[in-house]
This record gives sequence, C-alpha cells and structure tokens, in this order.
Amino acid sequence: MSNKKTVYKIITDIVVAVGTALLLSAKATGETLHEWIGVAVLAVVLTHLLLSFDWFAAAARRFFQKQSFRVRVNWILSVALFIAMTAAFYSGLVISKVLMPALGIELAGGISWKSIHTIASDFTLYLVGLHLAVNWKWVVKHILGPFRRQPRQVAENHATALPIRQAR
Amino acid sequence: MKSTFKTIGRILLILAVAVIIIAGLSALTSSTADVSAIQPPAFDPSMAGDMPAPPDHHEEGASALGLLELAKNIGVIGLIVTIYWFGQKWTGQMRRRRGFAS
Repeated sequence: MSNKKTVYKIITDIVVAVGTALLLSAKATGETLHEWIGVAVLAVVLTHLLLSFDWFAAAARRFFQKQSFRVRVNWILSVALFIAMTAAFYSGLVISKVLMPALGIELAGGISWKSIHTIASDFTLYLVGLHLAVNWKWVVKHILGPFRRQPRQVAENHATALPIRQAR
Repeated sequence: MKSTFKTIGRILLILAVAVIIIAGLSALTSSTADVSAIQPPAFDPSMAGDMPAPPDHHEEGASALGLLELAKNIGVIGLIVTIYWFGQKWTGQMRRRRGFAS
C-alpha cells in the first residue's frame, strides 16, 4: 500500500469513526446537524469503501480457499456493516425532516422506516465496535502509532537518566 | 484515465448493491404497511382530552442527555473492542497451553 493511500485511509477512518459516534448520538447534535453530518459521513464512508475495495475483492475471491479465520470474520462483518449502514442512511433520508424538504423532495416516511432507522443504527453501533476490534492492530499501528513513545526515545531517556544516577 | 474508469466502476458497483438492499427494505416496509393499515384503530382527538404532547426526541441543540448518549455509544464501542481483545488473548493463551500439554 502506498504512503499516500495510507494517509487517505487514516484520515477517512478518523472522520468515519468520529462521524459515526456523532450520528449515533442524535440527541447530542440536534436534528438539523444530525442530518447534515449523515450526508457528510455518507460521502466519507463511500471513500472508505473505495480505499478498501482491493482488500475486500481479494478477500471475497479467496473466501472459500485457504485463508485465516480472522480475514473471513472481517469480511462478513464488513458486509453486515455495509447493509446496516445502507439501511440507516436510506431510512434516515426517507424520514428526514430538514434536508430532503429543503431540497424540495417529499418522501413518505412512516413508522416502519423509523423502526428500520433505529434498528439499523443500533446494529451499526455494534458492528462498528466489532469492525474496529478486528482491525485494532491496523488502528494501533497507523493511527495511534505516531502518538506512542518510540523505543528509541525510551533508550534516549535512559541514556539521559544514567549520568544523574552516576552523579548520586 | 484507466484508474478513473476503475473508480467509477467501483462506485457504480457499490451503489448497485446499495440499491438492492434498499429495494429489499422498501419491499419489507410496504408489506408491513399493509398489515399495520389494518391493525391500529382510528385516532379520535375528542378522546385524547388534555393529554400532553409526546416528547420530541430530536430537539434542537446539544443537551446533557445527548452528551450522555454520546458517552454511552463510545463506551459500547470501547467495551466491544476490549472484550474482543481479552477474548483473543485468552484463546491465544489456551492454545499455547494445549500446545505445551501435547
């Protein structure tokens, strides 16, 4: 994977994570902001999917061949997350009270679409947690990695601490 | 140029799958709408009296309850990640122990 692609992936992953956390807390943002964040996150999720497309296609091709259990679970989770997110985004647009009327589009959203939105959002929350857990090594390496203390830094700290001990 | 077409093709593929999911959901809601159209009785405003209006769960602006919901959601995600990692650590230890035993 090229460095540029990794940087894009890191940025989209952070935006998707923060955006999803905000989207799942509609009471915290208010309805208008909730709907606008939804549209923004939808665009970023599409970018995330495009950036992960190669992995997804390769895992799908090798699904029934010799492959680790973790990759299979990750692939199934990704599919489930895509279904849950699609359901949440579309039902959100159907029951929209601000965004769609502002665009002049009137959709007949009923109780059933509201129920779908609630159920899909709940599933999205759990699936995002699992998706993050399965890919935690990647997150630690690329996103949290730069913030972690490097072994070299630790060695340097030891080196600076040594003369103080010797002076005592 | 080739990569642009590739990206457009992939976007179309993602959208096509999304449309299939949406079509399934639409079929589901239309079938449930048929059932719900029979079940609930007609609402009579005279029967309601001075009943207070149901609370709007999506009021404008951030509230303490909203921040609590945000904290809960982040907590749920954190809990899932923690359980997964402890589970994986535990299964790894069990496998190692079995390896030593055999």
